[in-house]
Order: sequence, then structure tokens, then C-alpha cells
Amino acid sequence: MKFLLARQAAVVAALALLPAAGEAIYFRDKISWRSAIAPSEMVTVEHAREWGDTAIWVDARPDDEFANDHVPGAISLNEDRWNELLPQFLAVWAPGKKIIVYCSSLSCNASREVARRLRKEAQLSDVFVLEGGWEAWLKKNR
Amino acid sequence: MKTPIFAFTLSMIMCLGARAELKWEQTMIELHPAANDKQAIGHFKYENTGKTPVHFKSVHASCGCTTAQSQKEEVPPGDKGEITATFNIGDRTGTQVKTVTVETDEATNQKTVLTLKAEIPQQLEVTPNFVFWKQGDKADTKTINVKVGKDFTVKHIKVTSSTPDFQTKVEEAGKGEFKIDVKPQDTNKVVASMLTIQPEDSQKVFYATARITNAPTAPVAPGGPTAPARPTAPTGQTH
Amino acid sequence: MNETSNVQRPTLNVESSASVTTSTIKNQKSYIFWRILDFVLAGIFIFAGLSKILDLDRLIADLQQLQFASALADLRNLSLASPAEFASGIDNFKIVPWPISVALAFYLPWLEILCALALVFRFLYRGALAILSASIVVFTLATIAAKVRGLDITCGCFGHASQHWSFPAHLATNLAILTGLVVLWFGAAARERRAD
Repeated sequence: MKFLLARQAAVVAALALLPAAGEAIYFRDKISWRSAIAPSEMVTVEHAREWGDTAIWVDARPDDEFANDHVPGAISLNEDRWNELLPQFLAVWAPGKKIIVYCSSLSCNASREVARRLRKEAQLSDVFVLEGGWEAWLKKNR
Repeated sequence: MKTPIFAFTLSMIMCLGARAELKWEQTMIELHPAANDKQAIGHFKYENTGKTPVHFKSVHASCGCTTAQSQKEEVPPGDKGEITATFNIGDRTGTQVKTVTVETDEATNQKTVLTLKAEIPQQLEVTPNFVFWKQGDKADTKTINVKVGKDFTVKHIKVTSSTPDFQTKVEEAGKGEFKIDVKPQDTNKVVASMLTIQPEDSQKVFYATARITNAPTAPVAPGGPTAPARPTAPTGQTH
Repeated sequence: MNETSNVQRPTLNVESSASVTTSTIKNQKSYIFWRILDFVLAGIFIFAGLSKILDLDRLIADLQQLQFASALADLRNLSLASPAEFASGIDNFKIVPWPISVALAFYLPWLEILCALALVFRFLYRGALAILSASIVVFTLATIAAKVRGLDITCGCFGHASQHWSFPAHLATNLAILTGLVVLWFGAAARERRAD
């Protein structure tokens, strides 16, 4: 009886693997197995630098951190003053531009939130989060 | 011989029992600030149920938008207190989760994570809040959808454009939903306009941006300039 | 003597056929009861699984507001939900690492649906029942553990649809479902004893 139960459970569990595997293959680009951000939404410092003029750097950190130091040419866009800063950002955006959003480890995923809002509210595409954030940029550039 | 062993054992038991222990009333607080609130404040109450004082080594929030303060640095046995976490809402919307990490000198449980969850109501949800046409494109109408938040009632909205380059028309699209049709006069010149969306009988104002942009930039070959370029200054009218 | 036994036989036949009829009615009623319970629990798990695979927010909102025309339109425009959301919900429990959360996010909804279908069609029945019971027990324990640790968990049995439920609501729902599954276990055991 116990073997029958285990066998039945094993068969059901195995059958469920098939559609699950299919779904995993379908969503392979939309979800990262390494981190909570999809691989298609993250970019390394090296890759971002290759984009040159076609990229707009967005600093999602609070105003004081931005004022202290930031990526040269970056635009400040944080959730503290979103309504005020967003139009300034949109004024410099153009179709075809890639948007790289970064924050620091102290800014608690601010870059993810800003990137999410740019995708959802402004419906912009090509929005990326900088892997390693401000610290990673500092390491490569200073 | 037996007496010293007994005394030692008893003192060890007493030392083990004489622990500092901070008991938290709640480690997660859910707040529902009003639409116009600038801050959401959570009070995390605690009590030292142990026999020795507890010292706070550090109290720090997970991000710059939240500050946390402890009333005291040392909590004597039996004493109560609270840590006040203040979350500056800014222009954030939706569900916000912020944490405060408290480190003490307790023998066990030295780190406690306090969680502040705030549901920020949004009177209007404007999607997309940016519509654009490329220079030279056909001057088609584009639509901005406005959805009224579930805790609010809005019967009418008023939309104004900061420049005459864009025309707007508001239509009601079902219960709690509006459509704003935006149409440029022409797409020959690069212009931008701030669309102000105001619900009737409300002081709060929402914004969307309409813009005629330059044509897309040509992609740069790999191995181009290493430093990101400064953004070009916008031409034509801005808001 | 023979006459006595002849006289007795008709009475015995009448009694036997009456008891067979009563027993048949009882069995039928019992069968209907078990099948209703099978379908109710299967329905719950199918909904739970689908709510994690498909984006059912608008459909549920329209049904709650009794807007059936809109609900029909939503049915036609159903789209797949992002598994990242369910994975984040599992990750919130802070029990398994992120890659396992992702794997479970893909696997669990399909397991729920298949087990539910097994209940409906009575195929691999006890195995499916075992899996559903074990998953509810594990999930309930994880919910309690998360609450004790002060974690913010917003994902329950029904994925995004239950994100605003309180902890007591989650717990009560899980326990009610577990009770139903336990009752089904007893039913299945009783059927097997009768068959033996």
C-alpha cells in the first residue's frame, strides 16, 4: 500500500515537471536564476561604457549623494522628487537611447524601483540597472 | 568539595538566567498614510524582560528615505521604550517596505530587523505619463489612461497643456477610468509640454509629458568613447 | 417444517432487497458527498495554480464587482503572469535560496493543477492527495515561521490574488483546506476497507 502511494505520488510529481520545464524555457530571458532582477534588465559597467553616447546614466540615489559625486553627465532621478525630476529626464531622452540606472548599496534597491517606474509609468524600453551600482562604477573608473 | 561545585553550578545557572532580553511588541508595522502625508511613522515598542541592561550598538535604516531613532542608548531591566522609524514618502507610490536593523549587546539575538510597510494611496494612476512623437512622424493621437485609486472617487478630471503645441481631450472610459487623447499640432519642430491633470475638487495635481523628439541617434560601434557623454541640451519649448 | 421454511423465505427476500436499496441509497449519497468534496478541493487547487500561472487580477476584480461582461472580455485577453512575482513571494519566506524559489515558482502551480485533476478523475488519487496534504502542511508551517520571525509575507495559496490577505486569513484558509484533505483521506481509506 505504501509503495503504491509513493509510486502514485512520484508519477504525479514527475508529470508536473513537464509543463514546469516548458514554462521555465519560455521565461528563460524574463527571470534570472541568480538574482531577483531579470538578466535582460541588468548591465555591467564594461558593457554600459561601450554604449557611449547612446546611453543616458540615471542616478537614483538621494539628492545629497548625487551632489557629493556621480557619474559624469548622469541625471538625478529619485523617488523623493520623482514628479519634479522626471520631466527633466524626459527632456533629454530620445528614442534609441539606452537608460542605465544606478544607486549605491545604501540606497536600498532604489535603482530597481526607478527602473521599474520608467518601464511601467513612462513605458520606456531599454531600461537597465547597473550591476554593482555606484560602487562598481567607482571601482572601474577611479 | 561539594559546596564549591554547588556554588559554581548555581552561579553558572544564575548567569545563564541573567540574560539581557529585549522583547518587541511587533517587528512589523503596516501603515496606511493619507494621500497628502509626507511621512509615515512607525513606533516599535520593546521591553527588557531580562535581568541585565541592554545597550543599543546601532540602529540604522536600510535606505536614506527612512530614519530611525532610539529614545535611549541603554535599557535597564524591566524598562520599556520604543524605536521610532520615520519613512519620508516623497513621490513614492504603492506598497513600500523599509527595514531598520537594530544591533544590541544581547547574548542571543543581537540583530533584530524591524519592518515598516506603508501602503501609499494614489488618487490617480497615469499610464503612460510620457507620450512622444519623433520629428517628422504622423501627428497621430496618443492616449493616456487615467485610473482612479480604489479608495477615491473622482467624477471629472481637468487636463491643461503648458504649450499650445498639443491638444488634449478627456473622455470617461468606464467607472473610475478616464482617457486623455493627446495630439500634436504638427511634428516638425522639437517641443515638449507638461500636461497637468487635476481631479475635480482636489488640490493635488498629476503630470504627464508630451514631446516631439529628435530622430533616433545612430548606434555607436563597440570600443567607442569610454566615458558616457553629456546629454544634449533640449531644443524648442520645454515646460 | 418445510412449510415453515417456505413461509420464512419470502420475508427474508423482502428484507434483503429493502436493506440492499437502503444501502445503495446510502452509498450513492456517500459517493455524491465524496465527489463534491473532491471537486471543491480540486477547484481550489486549480484556481490556486492558475492564479500563479495566469494574470487573473482584472478578471477577479470584475467578478467581485459582478461585471460579467468585462469579465468575459478579460477571459479572452488573459495573459501569462510573471513567475518572478511568485518567486519573490517564496523568497520572502527566507527559507530557500533564490534559485530554489524560482524552481518552485515554475513547478508548484503545475503540481497543484495536476494533483487537482487527479482528484477529479480519480487517477493516481492517493498519491495526489498525499502531495496536496504535504504541501499544505509545509506551507502552513512556513507561514507560521515567517510570522514568528516578523517577515512580511504577501503571497498565500492564491498568489497575487491573495496578496492583501492578513496572516489569520492565510492560516484559516490553509487549515480549512487541510481539514478537507484529511476528510478525503478517511474517505479513501474507508472505500478501500469496503473494497477489501
